[in-house]
Amino acid sequence: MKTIEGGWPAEAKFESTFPGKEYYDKQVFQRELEKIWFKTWLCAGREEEIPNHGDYLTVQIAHENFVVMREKNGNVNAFYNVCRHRGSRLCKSETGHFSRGQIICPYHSWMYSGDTGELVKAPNVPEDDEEFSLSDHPLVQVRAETWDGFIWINVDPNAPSLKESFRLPESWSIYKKYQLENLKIGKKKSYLVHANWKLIMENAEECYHCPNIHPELSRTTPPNQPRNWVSEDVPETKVIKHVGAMELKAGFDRVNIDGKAYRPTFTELTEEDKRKIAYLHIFPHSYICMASDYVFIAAMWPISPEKTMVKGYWLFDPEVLASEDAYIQDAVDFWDITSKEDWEASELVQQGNQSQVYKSGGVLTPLDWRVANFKKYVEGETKS
Amino acid sequence: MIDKTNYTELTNNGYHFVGYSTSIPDGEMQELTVGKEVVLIARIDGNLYAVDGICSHAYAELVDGELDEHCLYCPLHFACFDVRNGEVLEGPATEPLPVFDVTEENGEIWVKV
Repeated sequence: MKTIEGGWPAEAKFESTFPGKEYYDKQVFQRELEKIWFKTWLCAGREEEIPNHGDYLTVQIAHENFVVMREKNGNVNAFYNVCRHRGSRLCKSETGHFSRGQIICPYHSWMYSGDTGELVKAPNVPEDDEEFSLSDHPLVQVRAETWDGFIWINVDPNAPSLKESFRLPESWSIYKKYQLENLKIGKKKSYLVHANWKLIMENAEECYHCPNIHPELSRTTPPNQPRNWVSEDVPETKVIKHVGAMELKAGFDRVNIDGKAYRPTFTELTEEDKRKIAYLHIFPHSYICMASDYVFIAAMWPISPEKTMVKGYWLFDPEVLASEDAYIQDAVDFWDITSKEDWEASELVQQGNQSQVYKSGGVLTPLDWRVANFKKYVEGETKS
Repeated sequence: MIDKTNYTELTNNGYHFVGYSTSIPDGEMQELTVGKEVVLIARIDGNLYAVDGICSHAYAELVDGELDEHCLYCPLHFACFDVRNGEVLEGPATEPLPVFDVTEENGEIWVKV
């Protein structure tokens, strides 16, 4: 019998899914925000999105919004997007620029330094008033770090550092040859998916569905070929998961819509690497798909229990993007089509999970063993 | 004796040698890869037919399905195709299977891809 990914590990077994409620209940969602989303490192974007002092981007997690900006000395800062005066949202756009790095509230023009978060001006409030001091009202900072061209934020002031949490650089060593730090965004797309964030990540954790809903992906990298798993010597952590590599079908040169080569492969890849697409998953919300000539990243952001915003990034060699005859549509279409197939499937699962007959959930098969691992992670984080 | 001239002509016309006639008895089918194409070859009433080996609906290798006379059933959702011309006989597939020219010369099977 041909098996998806060539089979499953010995410990994989049949077990229950989460009960249906976990995918729509407001209290469950609130607990996940507190226990997972506001405690872990999240991929907020790419450094090149905010190259200059004062450039910013914003990130929405449920009811919270964060502004991530480039400070004067080149570091990246992140703050709650909330004025300390009456609580107004400070920046309304998804991206933009603060002149001279000053964040000015649209409501009463309280002005903050984007470099330090300090309140530098509160117009018309007497400066000599003993009951008011600018230094008492700085923006509330959120932690921000960078790695390999990515910007990561963490809402928890007591969380371990990014390096510790991801076990950098050891956990990332096998991906060095993709030179992620140098790659640039060729395309960015956002998708609003009417499904709970866990369903979208769970979908990414199995390829059982691939033959059924991904004819394009399956023709290029047949899911019934054995997967190339990563050696256990390469460290994982609670959130860093190496998901191995899928192999190109004979006759195909690239993991894209038609298998044809439109761009040179990354220079440090071996002949073997060139015929693979490597996958790295970062719990709770992102995956990095490394093909031989581009990289696709998906990062999901929960909006409500039943809605998730997914941001997709396609990265390429900057020289390729700069060339006059740059062509990237083959890669963009491949993941745009495949992603939309995933979103549709997740939306159907969301609908079924809200049924009373799914109250106690369904069943995970050994083929879904990585979904079971993700479930275990969510349970572990939310139980205490 | 093998006619070498004819082989050159086949090659020039884009045909690829894929196997021997004896490997596909009547009523049976085989899957093979030519370049990047997965091709399914079936023999019905002595004649060979070649179609795309992957279902036009989802991703399934049709050789894992069933061949009942000229009816080729997909193993995944039981779409049915006429293996002689690629036409859809039953859904859920809506697109016909691409068809390839196939010929037999001196006990050898040649497919044009």
